Amino acid sequence: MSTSNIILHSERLELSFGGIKALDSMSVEVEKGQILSLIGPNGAGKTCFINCVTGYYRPREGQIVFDGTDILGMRPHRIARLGISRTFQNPNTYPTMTALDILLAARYMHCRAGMMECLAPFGRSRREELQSRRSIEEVITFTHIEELRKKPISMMSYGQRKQVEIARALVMQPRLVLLDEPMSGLDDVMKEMVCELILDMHRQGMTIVLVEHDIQTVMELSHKVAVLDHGQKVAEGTPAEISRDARVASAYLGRNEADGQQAACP
Amino acid sequence: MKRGSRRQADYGRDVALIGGLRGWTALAVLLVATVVLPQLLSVTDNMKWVTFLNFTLLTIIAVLGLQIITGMAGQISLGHSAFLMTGGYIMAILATKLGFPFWIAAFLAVLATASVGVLVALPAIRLKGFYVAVVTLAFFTISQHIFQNLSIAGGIWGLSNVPGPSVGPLKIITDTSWYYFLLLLTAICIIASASLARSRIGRSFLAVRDNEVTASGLGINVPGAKLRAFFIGSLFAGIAGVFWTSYVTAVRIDQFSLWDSIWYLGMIIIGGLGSTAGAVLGVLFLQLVRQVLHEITASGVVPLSINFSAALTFAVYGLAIILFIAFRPHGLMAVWQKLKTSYKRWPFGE
Repeated sequence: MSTSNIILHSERLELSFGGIKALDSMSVEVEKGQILSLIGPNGAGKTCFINCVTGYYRPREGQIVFDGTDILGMRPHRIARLGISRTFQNPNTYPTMTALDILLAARYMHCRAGMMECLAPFGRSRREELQSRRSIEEVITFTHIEELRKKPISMMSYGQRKQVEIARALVMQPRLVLLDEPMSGLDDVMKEMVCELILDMHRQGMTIVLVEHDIQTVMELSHKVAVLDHGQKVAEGTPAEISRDARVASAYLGRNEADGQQAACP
Repeated sequence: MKRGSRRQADYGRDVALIGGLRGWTALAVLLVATVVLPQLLSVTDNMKWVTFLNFTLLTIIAVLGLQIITGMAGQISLGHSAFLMTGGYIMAILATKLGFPFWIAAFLAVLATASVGVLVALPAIRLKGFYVAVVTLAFFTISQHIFQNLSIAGGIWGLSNVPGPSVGPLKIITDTSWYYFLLLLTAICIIASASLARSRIGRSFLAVRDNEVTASGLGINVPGAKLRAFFIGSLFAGIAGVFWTSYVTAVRIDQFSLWDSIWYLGMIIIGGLGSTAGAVLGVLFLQLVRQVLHEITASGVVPLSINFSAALTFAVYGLAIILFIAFRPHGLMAVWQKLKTSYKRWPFGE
């Protein structure tokens, strides 16, 4: 594995809130074009990691390098402009906008019209608007949200919001997508759909970091799985390796090492 | 991926400000009506109603600015009339004391107001919600004191003999010529505001209003977006202030009061937050209410004292806001949309 293949690399991240260590010496490498999954119990630091990479949290120590650029301490909008986009776990984020509104807003960094140009009904602003609209329609088809175009996000079901949230991340044409529990709270049909979507994104060459609780899905989708517990990476490997790992079993799968019995697990 | 292909032909219609035959017809009717209106009014009455229309047009321009700051970007501003004051005073100083030609003075005054808007925004963008309102309130008080005590601004007497504009050989002096001039200016401002709403910058305002955290995830510089909103919003206010001063040929400290700021806020609430048409509807509605109440008490049909009629205006204004927030929180704009939908779906109810 050559180093140029690593698109995201975090080195010994330390993040704490008061006395609680949210991330403890957390190092992860993500290969270009791969799907890396982060699993672990609630409070293990998965979302914290995403927040660090996207600039919402600033780790006390460590290093995050995205495609050769040190992004630690950069502000979120700068990081987004480098080509990292994320979805939020709780997609109740735009109370007044419709799906089209938010998707067009997500084209922000791909348009260049200046403030005064945007006051004119003609010229660059209009040209970019038409172009944005065209590229958004591709994503709308891709994510199967044709019916939701003009629906206010506040009127959508939870699952529809999740779909729009993924579409929003895709409209930004990112090189790296961080999906924070895209399948939580969805029924099986929707889960299947999101899985297909993630695979489609993978086929298009995107690098994906997936945070997910649904172990079965994670094992089927990922190239690599990292297991977090109490802010530490306790294991990393291919899905097959992970499912054999005893430490993972105790931290996450709820298996008791002593008797090898399986407790209640998802 | 083939499904959407036929639809992808052209989005020009979606992007256009005015769509379809019906839209253009409505616009033509509106245009004819607005052009003929002062002629009709001057036949029946004195120029009082044309004056009223002129102030209404100026208010529309001002409120479009507030709609951008508060309605689109979500930054509550209680100091909007102070932007008009700034524009008006700078205009008056440049044109009467320093002898600048009208258009240069107007241009500089508008630009200066927009810059002041950015200055006000600098402390405001570090704060959220009501604290922004307090900063803008402080700005109102500060600017009132500055213009009241600045000797070049004429102290409490203000400045008079502010010139009017001239377009080529045409001098804008009479109320009717002012009406047509302001009508054109307002139309330009409405088009600019509506264009902004469907542009990248306008959408960045909406994203910031809805959620600052996720907006930054879209690559939007949140403080930058707020600065832009204040710049554009106070630019509109500057235009309104400059021509207000020029229309009444004078500027005084009580010309732009804190109450005006409150009225402006009420106008965007009643019209519908965030929408250009909502701002226009809100201004028309409240201006009409105000004027009608004034007419009723002035005509002597109902025997009311002047003080009581002033109090009544405020009471009706307050009541209107309460009723709208309670029953039509999205304003007149939403009422209009609903009417349109039920018209289209007739006879199938809502």
